[in-house]
Amino acid sequence: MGTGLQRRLLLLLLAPLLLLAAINTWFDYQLADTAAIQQDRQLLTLVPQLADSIQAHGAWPPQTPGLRMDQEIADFLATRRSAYAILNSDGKVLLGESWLGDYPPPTYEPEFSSQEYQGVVYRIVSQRVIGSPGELTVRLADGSSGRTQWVHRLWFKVVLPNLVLALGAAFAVNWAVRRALRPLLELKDAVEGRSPRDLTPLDAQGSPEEVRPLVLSLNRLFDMVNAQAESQRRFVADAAHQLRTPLAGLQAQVEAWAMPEGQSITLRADQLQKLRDATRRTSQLANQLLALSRADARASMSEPRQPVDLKALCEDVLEEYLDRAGARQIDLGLEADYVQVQGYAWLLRELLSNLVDNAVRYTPKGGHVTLRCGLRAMADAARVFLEVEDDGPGVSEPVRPRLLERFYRMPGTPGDGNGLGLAIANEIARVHHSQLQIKSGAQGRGLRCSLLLEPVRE
Amino acid sequence: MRLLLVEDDVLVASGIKLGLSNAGYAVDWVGSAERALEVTQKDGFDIAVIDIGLPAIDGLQLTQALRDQGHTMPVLILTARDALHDRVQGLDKGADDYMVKPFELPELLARLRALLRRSQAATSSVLRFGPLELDMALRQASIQVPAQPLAGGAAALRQPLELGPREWTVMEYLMLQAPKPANKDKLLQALTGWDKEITPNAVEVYISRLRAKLEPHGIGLRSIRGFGYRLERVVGD
Repeated sequence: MGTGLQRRLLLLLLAPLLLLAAINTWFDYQLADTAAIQQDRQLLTLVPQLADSIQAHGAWPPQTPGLRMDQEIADFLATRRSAYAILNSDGKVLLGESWLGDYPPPTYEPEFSSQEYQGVVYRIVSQRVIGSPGELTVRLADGSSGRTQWVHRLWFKVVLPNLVLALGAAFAVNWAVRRALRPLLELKDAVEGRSPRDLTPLDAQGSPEEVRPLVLSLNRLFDMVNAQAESQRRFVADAAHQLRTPLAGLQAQVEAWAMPEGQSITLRADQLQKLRDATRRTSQLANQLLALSRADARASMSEPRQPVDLKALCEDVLEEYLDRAGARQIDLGLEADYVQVQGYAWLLRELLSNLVDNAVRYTPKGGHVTLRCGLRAMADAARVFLEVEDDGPGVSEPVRPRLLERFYRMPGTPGDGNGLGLAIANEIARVHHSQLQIKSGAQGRGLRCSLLLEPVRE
Repeated sequence: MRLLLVEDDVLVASGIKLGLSNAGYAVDWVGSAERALEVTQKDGFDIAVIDIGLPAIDGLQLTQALRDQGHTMPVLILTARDALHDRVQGLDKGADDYMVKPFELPELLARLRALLRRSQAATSSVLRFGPLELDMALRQASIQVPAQPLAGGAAALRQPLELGPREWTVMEYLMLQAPKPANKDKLLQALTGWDKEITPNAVEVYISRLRAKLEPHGIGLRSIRGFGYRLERVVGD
């Protein structure tokens, strides 16, 4: 967490800084360029004047031409780091600085060049002139500033300071970011250093304002995990207790038969019946516990949901319970429209089986149990419903919420249930972001368990 | 009926073996897939019950191997409840049905009966349900009536059962599905070969006619609200 955030902050802060530095450099470059053009223009205006100030003495071509300079040229040469030379057509320096000796330019147009001399870069303009003394080449060099200097200036006055600035900023930003993020990093260390069993709240008061919401939501999460772990522990204890009851019965029976050695054992039919009931109950309990734990696990996993055909599911479950319903002379029926929902088919089957199992178990002889699925118009949109209704004894309204508790059984309930069926159904409903609703059936009789689901979007 | 049971857990296996033997099956029990492949080389079986969780070669591989070797007997796979994808895979690999362990014995017996009936129907073209027989080749239905002690006949008698063409279609579909219920919509589809326009009420008519013909012989046609009909043995009376 720390490094990623830190890197992003650094990047976000440094990128604009570097961009600013680049823009700054570009403007300076533009300025230097303008200065250089002005310098060239000045040299160009001075060259004819310099040519005009040449005066010939004696023979032509003059061996040592004289100069009578204008005030302007004299000022230029006096105030600037500059030089001039008058060359004959062979490139020999007749007058001025000897290092400026060079062949005359090929044309009569002024020609610019740059040359370094004694560590100074000079901007030089050369022009062939035909004056009263004949053809000569006039060269004027300016080493004071302008273009020749701008590269140096660019480096030392623009790029370097900007780089130093950026570097300094990087360090400063890095330091600031590190410092600002320190509470977050400390929080990370505090969470990381914990043992999985340590779920005590973190100190919310001591953390900075911005981090406090995070600490508070972490504490909320810890609370939830604590509560869940607690309920899990309670569940395991309850489950063990529930499993022990039928197992104890089984064991007692078997131990008794194992006692008299060498004797053949005869079992009465009712003893056998009891044994079978005890084993069936143990198996059912184990299955249901497994179903519950898997529904729990599924809720936290991210296996994608699939479209589930509820009508086919209802038909399957109906088939499964036909014999049991027939044996109890219960009319098990179906009112199903074709609908599909997003979900986990095997979990929904488990849910529906539990609802039908309950209904068939507690509805008296001659009763009716109906499986339904279809579309129901709700206030906001159409929702898919899945429900099981019976016309049995029903459950009084205050007790209904308790039916969803694990291992809750209504006092005086006949049969061999474990009190897990509806809890499992509700758990599965929760996995599907829904909730099991328990109401009374038609005309206030019996029980109607239903849940609303998200239809598959076509 | 000779039945091959492949199950490595001794307690489970001996329980199943006892239950199936009591129900009249001749049960050969082996504890591994390798042994199962050996015994199927020598002997023929009418049906096999195979546990998925076997050592070395598992039940799915065994089923596949049996099918590869050309065995056509029905195979019922036993699977643990937490093996979610097993049943789909099992049916892909050539199994005919599956049951989740632990199960109740009557349920297993019912499944085995259904599998055997289906495999017989596939080979012999005679469908049976209780005393009722449908000879698909001759298109003849007959019913077995108990021998009349006064008539002195020791053997049971077969008595022909007159069925109209549409009644035959309905009967055939019901028997192919039994003991599962037959879906009314599918029944309608089966009948549309006869009539272009057929109403659910018409199906009701054929069903009630069949009911009248079958009920005296202890076979019921139970209506399942919102779904269809199921052939059932009527016990007692």
